[in-house]
This record gives sequence, structure tokens and C-alpha cells, in this order.
Amino acid sequence: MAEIISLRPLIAVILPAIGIAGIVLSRRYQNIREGATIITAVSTVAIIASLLPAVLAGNVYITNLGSFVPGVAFTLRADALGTLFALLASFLWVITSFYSIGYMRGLGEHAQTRYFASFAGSVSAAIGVAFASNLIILYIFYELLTVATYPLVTHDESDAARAAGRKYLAYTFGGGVAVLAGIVLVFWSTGTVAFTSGGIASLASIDPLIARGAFALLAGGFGVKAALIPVHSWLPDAMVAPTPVSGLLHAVAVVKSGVFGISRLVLDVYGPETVAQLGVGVPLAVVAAITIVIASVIALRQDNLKRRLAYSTISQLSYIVLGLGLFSPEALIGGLLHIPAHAFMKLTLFFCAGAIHVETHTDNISKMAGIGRRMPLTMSAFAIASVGMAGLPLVAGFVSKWYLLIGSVDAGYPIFAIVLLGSGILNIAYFWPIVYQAFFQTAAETDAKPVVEFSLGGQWHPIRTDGHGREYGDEHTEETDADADADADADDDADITAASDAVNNKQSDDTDSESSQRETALSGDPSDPNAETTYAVDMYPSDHTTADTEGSAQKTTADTIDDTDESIDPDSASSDNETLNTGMNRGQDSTGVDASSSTDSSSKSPTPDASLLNTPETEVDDNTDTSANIDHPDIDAPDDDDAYMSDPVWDRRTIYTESTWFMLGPIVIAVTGAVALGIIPQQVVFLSLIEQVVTAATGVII
Amino acid sequence: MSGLSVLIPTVVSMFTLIEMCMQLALSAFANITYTILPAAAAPSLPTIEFVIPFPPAFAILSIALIAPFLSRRVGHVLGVIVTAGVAVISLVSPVGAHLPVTFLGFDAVLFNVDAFSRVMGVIFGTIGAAAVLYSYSSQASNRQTAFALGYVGTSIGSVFAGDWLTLVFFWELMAITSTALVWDYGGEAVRAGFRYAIYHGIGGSLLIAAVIWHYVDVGSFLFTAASGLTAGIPAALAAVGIGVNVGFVGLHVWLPDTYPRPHIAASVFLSVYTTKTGVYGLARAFPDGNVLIAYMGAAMALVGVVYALLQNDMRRLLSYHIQSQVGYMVAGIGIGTALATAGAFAHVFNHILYKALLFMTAGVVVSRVGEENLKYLGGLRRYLPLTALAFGIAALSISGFPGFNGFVSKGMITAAADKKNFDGIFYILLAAGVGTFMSFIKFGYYAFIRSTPDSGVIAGSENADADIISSAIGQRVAMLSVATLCILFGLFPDALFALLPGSTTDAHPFTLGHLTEGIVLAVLGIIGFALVKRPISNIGKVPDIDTVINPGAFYLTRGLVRGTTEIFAIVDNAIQVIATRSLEITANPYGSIRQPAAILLQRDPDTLTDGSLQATIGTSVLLVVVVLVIAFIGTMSM
Repeated sequence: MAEIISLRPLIAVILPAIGIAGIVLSRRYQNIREGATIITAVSTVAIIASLLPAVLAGNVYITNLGSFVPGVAFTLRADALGTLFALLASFLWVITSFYSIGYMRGLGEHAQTRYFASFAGSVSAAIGVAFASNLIILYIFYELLTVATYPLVTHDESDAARAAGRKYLAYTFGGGVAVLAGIVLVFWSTGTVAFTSGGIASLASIDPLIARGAFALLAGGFGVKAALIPVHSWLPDAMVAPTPVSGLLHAVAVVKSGVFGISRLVLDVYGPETVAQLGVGVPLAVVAAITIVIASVIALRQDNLKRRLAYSTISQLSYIVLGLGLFSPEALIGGLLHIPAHAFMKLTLFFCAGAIHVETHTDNISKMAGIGRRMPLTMSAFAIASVGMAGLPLVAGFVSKWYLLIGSVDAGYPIFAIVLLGSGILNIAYFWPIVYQAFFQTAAETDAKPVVEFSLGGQWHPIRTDGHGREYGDEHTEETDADADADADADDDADITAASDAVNNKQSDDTDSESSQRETALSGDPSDPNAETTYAVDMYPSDHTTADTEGSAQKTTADTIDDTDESIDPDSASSDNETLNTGMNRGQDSTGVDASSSTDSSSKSPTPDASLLNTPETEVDDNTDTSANIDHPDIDAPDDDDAYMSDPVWDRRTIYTESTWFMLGPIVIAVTGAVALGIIPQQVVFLSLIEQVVTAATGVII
Repeated sequence: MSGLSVLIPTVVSMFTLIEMCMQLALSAFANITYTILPAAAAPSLPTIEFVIPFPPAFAILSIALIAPFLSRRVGHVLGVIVTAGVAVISLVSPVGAHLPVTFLGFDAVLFNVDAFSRVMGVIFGTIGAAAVLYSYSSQASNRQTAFALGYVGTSIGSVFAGDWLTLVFFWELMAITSTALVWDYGGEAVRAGFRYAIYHGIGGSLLIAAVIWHYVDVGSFLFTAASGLTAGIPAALAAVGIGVNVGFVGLHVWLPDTYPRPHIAASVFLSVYTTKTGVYGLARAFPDGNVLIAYMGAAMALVGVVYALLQNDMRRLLSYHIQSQVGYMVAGIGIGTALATAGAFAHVFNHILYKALLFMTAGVVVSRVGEENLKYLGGLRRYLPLTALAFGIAALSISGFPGFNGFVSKGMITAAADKKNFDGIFYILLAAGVGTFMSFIKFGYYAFIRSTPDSGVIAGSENADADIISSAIGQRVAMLSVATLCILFGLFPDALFALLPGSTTDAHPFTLGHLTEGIVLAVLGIIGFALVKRPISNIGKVPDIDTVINPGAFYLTRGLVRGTTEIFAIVDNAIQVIATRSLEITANPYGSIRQPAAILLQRDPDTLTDGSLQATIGTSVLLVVVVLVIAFIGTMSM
């Protein structure tokens, strides 16, 4: 294993930082600014890719910048593990940049320069984390990463976003304090913090109490960013950020730097043998296993798609930590392979969620029935990525899970194999409904989501889930009143009828104000002061294709109607979902969530909907046997914008008309990467890099 | 229920009747074993020395990928060609482990040809071709047939795997493609498909656990590295995991839940591939058999047929029969002798033929008449004569009437059970045979033979002749060609024997004993049906185990989810409250302690302004001393 002195690791870290300058300087010229991002990203990938041949052969690149503090050298070191993470982060930065362009322009977002500049800064910090040669350097870049991502988390500048940002900082700096304490302990007891392949030898011989304490501090501190339970709750709240941010940073860079820190800890600070000897690996694996299960269970209940994906991320990250905690080469391979595997799959899922948001302003799963017609390519990519999440073959998730399973049994703890397999089933339970309702159901004929919250066998009443008032805390419109009446004789759960009664009670008080507001809103315009900007992410409709402009004009009218409706009930808290932010913001957040959940449900013209509705009804009427469960509430006034169907009938688009290629291209690339990793993981370099890492760490030739 | 109270004694008396008849027949003819039909010389298989450079599954899967973008006719024609091609390739490829690769870092074999995979490949390909033809003429969409071809392709990939990794890889993909095939129909099928996916996810997970454990023990996934799966936990896990696919009693409820729901052509595909790949997997996992599995097979045969007899929905009846017939195969594999293995795989072959045929005929009835329930059908032999003929052939095949293919393979399995002195299994399988006769007499009688139903579409329609169109040409070609194969392999079983694994030297299907057995079972079936017809028609819906499992799993999951989220909400809330209260106190200490201090010091709270609480020197010294004493005591006691 030769050490090659080279400036390339330093250049790889500095380049994105230089890119910040380019981005800021060209802030007045959007296209040049975007070009600066792309050029920086591509050149960063190129530099890191140039490191690959030598790294795969077992060499290491070193850039030594002198002594930082006495005893600690400021050195950047590109070894196999670091190159893995850096390559992943920079490659995904390229495709996320294209996606960001499509997303930000599609929504007409504000402060785009700040966004792109912070993004570049974050990637620079992430690469710094990857190439750090000792714990101190890693800590510096780790904290810089937090700082750089703060403007991205709070991009919206709304109260919810600021609260999420505060929570994010509190958690991550708290974790940073723990990391620093651990680093100090290690330095004090061994005299070095440099990453040594196979672990720092003297850690095996110092007082086990101190060694375990340092491990706990370091693992706990890194575990904040790695979203281990109980320090995970910053992640679902950080979903308030724009979707590309959620995708890259919270599914790829920030959280992966947390698991990267843990992997450095296990592989290069303590070494797998010392970890096993001290007996700290298994408790770490147990915490990871608990996280896997609990996060998947919570995900079953989330209606907001991004929150569901956030909990899925929390669960999947612990696959990596689980692999690192077990003393077995296959477990290490599985855990480390899950870093790129999960990155590609989760990025695909987030990109799809963002594309859905941009194109249709739909954020809640309960509103996405039939959306496969409107966005075929997006939902196909979503389906493929979710297959991988469940650990089913053809996609990357299968390979890493396979290795993890072998490792669990090999290490002598088959209980973890059971946890992993059970997690796969839970993944099926919370991803399959999204996929099947997108392609194989329509808004008129869909079972209410989330599946676990409604009746056994599916609740088939064609009403919104928001008709159940309290639970999802959302708008009250007149037709939910009608629905609630119609539901009274159906076989509902007791609490649902109770909720709809609550809706009725609130409803009767508000009809007057509602109807008057509706009249003014109808003649209003998007800048109507009554219209609260209550989207979680933005308030501007998609405007990238001319075909949408009609729809968007109608949308905004409908939006203002929805918005005024929501203002009625600010404290119908979404208490069942894990609460967002502080209690103080609960009311605010629920409206935020509500608004994002209010689809522009009548973006298609209202009156034809009424006539469309008649046909499925009459068909259903004829069929005496099977339609027992379907109610037929009267379709009232045709000027009822929010008709009794929860969603519009999505119009059919092809892959050329569903969205821009800025967004579809990255989706396709990400999902192709996930599938490639699932079929030829060695040829796409990641598995080969990981085999290098594990061979060096354990001495076992893989 | 009065019906049930008549049914049970009837069944019991039938058992005793069967035993008596069998003992009579066997004692009469025990020593006479001359054959009725001369055995032709077993034809040898043509083989060529050419190995295709890719697994045959890839050919089918590539057509599946492009089919949605082609016209319906072209897509289906290509589907027929490629599946028939796979059947031919399976027939002529030389034996051996071809296409060894390093897959995902492990040694794997993608195209392994031996007697087991050969017979599976031939029948999967053949029936796939017939089913695609049937799909085309049943107006199946390209998308549906693409999913079906994906399903066929992944099943074939699974049976041609030479190692456990590849087998599991295609096994899981088979579950996904079949789920998509069920979902494609929409409506009720979607939710049923979700349940199906979860069942198969659990089954697949158990199989994966077994394979992983086996790998850790043996060090390789290749079939050649060990004989079957390591005994103990891996074998048990595999049995249960494959048992889901195969329909073990208790794990079978997805069969009647899912199979009747989608498109009629989709049901044809579904009836063939999942369960038989399961049987193949079971044979790979237990090459020497296992007594428990043999008994489970017998139980499946009996439970399946009893439930089938109680069904009125045609496709549900057939689905329960899948469980019953697969029980024969599982029993054969469990018995483990060469004859039993040959019998099991012969039964796989034959069953695929007649079960697909049955689903095809049921599909024609459903689509032409628009009625799924036997109660409202009747007299269809007039309107659908060819369908009735095909049904009749299939019914006689599945029941094991001499001259049809089911007779041969069932006979082999029961003979193997007898030879190994598994008397319990022997009699249960015979009883299941009677039950099979009974249920198909029921099906045939209600649907085709009786003149008119009491109510329903046919009775109600005035101009019945004009309403029921007979089957389409493609459907007829598919049905009648499969029916011909049923008769062919029934009269000339040696053609099939050439393909089978195990050994057929002890297989003498046309002994007088066996023939008598077959005819006696048929007679008992007629008598039995005549006895139970009325009681059964009075029984309502008989619950299966899913009345317990489905609500149990659902409410358990919901309880778990709600419990977890509520606890986390409470904890999170508590932390928020503590955090904000702490912040408040530190920001405004006097505001926080004003009330308690007032009570403690017995002063008016309004007099406690900021800075008004001050300790004298004496109080301060006292407090400091108290703190030091506590600290001292604390360190001393450590």
C-alpha cells in the first residue's frame, strides 16, 4: 500500500468552495450561475474519479498541509473508504444540480443563488469529511457541513423552516460536542487521533472503561447525524427544506457523513477486532436494529410522502450502522455497500417526490391515487426504487441486504437477520400502497391511505382522508359535510365517525364565513391577501409548460379557496403523525402540512368533473353484489369546486410531456445507478472499493 | 348448520367405504400384475451439443420488456414464439451446469440443466405458449401479457438456476411480477394483490434466511456443494418459506384470495407458475424427502379438496384444488424414493396441463356468461360445447380417471406411499381422490350438465341462445390442444417418463389393480356427490383461516403503529416542554420562582421584584457549608 503525495485530495475539497465564488459572482445571470455549478460539479467528479485506479490497487493519496495543532497534522488522505464517499457525494451532486435547476425554476423559488452556493459549500465540506485523515479534521469538516446546510434547511424562511433549522442545529451541534469529547478522550489516552488501517493499536490496551466511554461518545455524536433513535427527530422536520436538499443532503451527504463517521470510528480508529473485544459492537448493532424497526413502524402512519421517506431513511441508515457493529467481513461489506445503494435509491425516491410536488403540488399519499397516469416515468422510477428499498432483487438494496444477512448469521446473531427481513416486509407494507394506487387505481376507486389507519380490507368511500377532520387536520369544505352524512350508515370505525361528527360540528359554525370568503375568493387573484401562503415549500404553481398555465390559473383560484378554508381550523393538529417541531409551532405546522396536502383538486375544470362522476356511479349501481361498500353521495351543486372525489382525474401524459428533462433526467440516472449497483456492483466500482476497505480492515481476503 | 352435520358423517363413512373397497380390490388382485396396455419403448430425448449463451429466461424477459410498446398481435405472437422456444430448448439442451458466473461476488450458475429443470422448463414453456394464445383471444391487454411474460420468465429463471442465490433472485422477482399481474386488473384485485405481496414477501424472507444460513454452514450457494439444504434450522425455514408458495395448510389462504380476482387469462398464468416453482424448490431443498413434508402434503390434499367442495365460485373452487393437487406433489417429494420423485414431477407436468385447462374453461364461462357462481349457471353444454368437452377431459384428468394423465402420476405417488408403508398418506390421498371426483362432478353438473339454474343470468335471459357467445378461436385452439396433451400423456405415459427425474422402473400405471382403483374412486365419487349435493348447497360460506389471520395481522400492525407513534409523540412533547420551560426559567428566573418563593418566605409575591431576594452573609455561608458537606459525603460514599 503505497502513499502517493498529491494535491488532488486538496483540489477535490477546494474546488466546490471555489465554485461558491463563481456562483455568487454570476448571480445576476441565472444560466451562467447554473453553468458554474455544473462545471464545478463535473470537475470535482473528474478529479475524484482520477483517483480511482490507484486507490483500487490499494494505494493512498496524501496531501500534507503541515501541523494543525501539536500532534495533529492537517492532512487530507484519499483511501478506499474516503474515495467511496467522495465519489458518491460528488457524482450525486452533478445529477442533483440538474435536478435543482428544474425544481427551483419550476417553482420559481427565491434566493436561488444562496441555495446553489450553500449546496456547493455543503459538498465541499462533505468531501472534506471523506478525505479527512484524522478525527480532528473530520470534526472540523463535519461542523462546517452543518453550517453550510443550515441555509438550505431554512431556505423557505418560514416559521416552520426556522424552527426546523433551530432543531437541526441544536441536535447536530449537540452531537458535535459529544464527538469532540470523544476525540479528546482518544487523544488523551492514546496520543493520536489519526486513522490507522485496522485501528489505533493502543486503544486495545487502555482502560476498557475509557475506551468504551470514548466509543459511546463518538458513536452517539456521529449517531445524531446518522439518525439513530433517539436522536433522530431532526430529520423528519428537516423535510421542510426543498426536495433536492432533502434528497442529496439528508439522504446522501449529511446523514451519510454521520454513518461515515461511525464507519471511520469502527474501521480506522478502533478497528473491528477491538470493537468486538470491547463488546461495544453489539450494543451499537442493537441500537441500530431498534431504529430499523421503530422507524419503519412510524413510517407506516405517515401521509406526507416526504415524511414517509424521511422515516424510511432513518430506518435504512441503521442498516449501515448494523453492519458496522457486527464483527464479520460480510456484515462490513453489506453495511458499507448500503451507503451507495441507499443513496441511489433514496435519491430516486426524493427526486420523484419533488417532481410530483412541482408538477401537481401533491404532497400527500392519500391524494396520489392514479398519479401514474400523469407521471408514468416518475412513478415507474419510484416503483423500481421502492423494490430496492424492500431488499428485492435487481436493485441495489438486495445486494447490501444479502451481505448483511450473511454477516448477521456469520457473526452469530441471527436475530439481526430476522430484524432485517422483517424490515423488508415493513418496507413492502409502506411502499407498495403508493405504487399500486398510482398505477392501478383511480381517484374514484381507491382505498383510503395510509392503509393502517382505515378499515380492514380497505376503506373504499370516495372521500378524502381529510374528511376525517381531526386526524389529518385539514380543510373543511362543504362536501365533507355531505360525505360525513353519507358515511353515517356505512361500516366505519367508531373513531372515524366521531371525527366526522366533529367535522360536522365545526362545519356548521363556519359555513357562513366560508361561503362569503368563497365568493370573494372566486373573483380574487393569486395575490389575494386572504390567501395564506400555506404550502410547506412554496407558493408558486408550476409554470414551466404552457399547457399548465390554464390549469395554474384555475389552480390558484382553487388554492385560495382551499387556503381560506384551512384558516378556519388552525389547531386541528396532526397529532397522530409525529409532531413537527415545538409545541408552539404545532398550529402553524398543521396548517403548513394541511396546505401542502390540499391539492389543487380542481385544477381541471369543475363542471365536466360532475358529469364524469355520473358514469362510474351508474356502472357501479348496476353491479349489485360487489358495490356494497361504495357510497353514492349526491353530487351537489356543480359549482362545488372540490367535488366529492378527493383528487382530479389525472390527465394522461407521456414521458415527453410529464415534466422537464431537468428533473426526469436525474431521476432516470439515479434509478439506473440503483439497478446497475444491483446487478453488477463490482463493475460499477463501489463493491470493489468496499472489498478493498474490508480487506484492509479485517485482514480477510475478500 | 344442518348441512355440516350431515357432511361430516358422510365423509367418515366414505373413508371406511374406501378402505373396504381398496382392501377388497387389492386382495383380489394382489398377485396379478399384468398390464392392460403394452408399454411402448421409452423414447429417448434428442439432445444437441449446443448450449445457448444466455439463460432462457432472458429471452422471455426481453420480450416482456418490449411487449407494451408493440401492437397486441405482435406482442402476443412474440410471446408464443419465445415460450415455445424455451420449451424446445429445455428439451434439447445437454445436461450440465452451463453459464457459471460470479454474481454479486459469489459463484453462481445461471443455466443448469438436469432432469429436474428440464421437465420444468418443458412444461413451463409449453403451457406458457398456450396461455399467451389464450390471453390474446381473451382480449388481454399488452401490459397484462407483458407482466405475465415477466412472470413466466422469472419462473423459468428460477427453475434453471444452478445455485441458491440465482434461485432466490428469480423467486423474489417472480413474486413481484405476479403481484403486478394481479394488480393490473384493478378493482378488488389490487388490495388482494397487496395481501398476496405480503404473504410472498414473508415466504421469500424465510427462504432467504434458510439459504443464508445454509451458506454460512457450507460456504457456497451452488447446488453441487451440498445435497439439499443443511438439516435443522435452514431446512425448517426453507420448508415454511417454500410452504407459503406451495400452499401448506395454514399458509394457503392467499391462493383462494388472489387467484379468482384478476383477469381470466391472468388466472391461467397464476395457477401454473408460483406453486410449481415452489414444488421444484422443495425438491431441491429436500432431495431425500422428509416425513413431515410427506404428511403435510397429504394434509394439503385433503384440506384443499374439502374446502374446494364447499366453494361455489368457480375459480375459488379451482384455487383450492391447486392446494389439493400440489399436496400430492409435496407428498411425493416428502416420500423421497425414486418412484415418488418421478411421480411428483410427473404430477407437476400433468397438473399444469389440466389445471391450466380448467382455468381456461372457467374463464370462458366467466367471460361469456358473466357469472362466477355455480349456483346461477346451468345447461352450458348447449351453448359452449367445446368448452364443455375440454372441461370434461380436464375434470377426468384431475380426478385421475384411467386413460387420462392424472391417473398415471397420482398412481405413481400413491404406489410410492404404499411401497414405503406410509399407510396414512396412502389412504388420505385416495380419499382426496374421491373428493376430487366429487367436486368436479359438482362443477360439471352445475355448470354444464343440469338443464337450467334456479336463478341468475341464464335463467333470467329470455333469449338465452343469443346472449351466450361461444368461445373464441384462439381460446378453443389453446384449450383443445392442452386437452389433447392430457389424453396423450394419459394413454402413452412413457413419452413423459423419458423426461422425469427419479426412476420410473417401478411405475406400472396400467396394472389391473390401479385401474380398478381408479374406477372405484370414480364410482365412490358419484355416490358421494349424490349424497352430499343437497347438504352442501345449504352451507353458506365456510370460513378459512384468513378470517383470523387478516384481522389479526391488521389490528396488530395498527396497534403497533399507533402505540409507537403515540409514545414518541408523548416523549417528544415532554422533551419540548422541558426544553421550553428550562429556557423560560433561565431567561426569567424571578418570574418562574416568584410564586413558590412567596409561599416559602411567606411574603406577598408582588414584593418579590427582580433582585429582591438576597441572602445575608450568614445564610450564604450556611448554604455553602451545606453544599460542601453534601459533596463530601457523596465522595466518601463512592
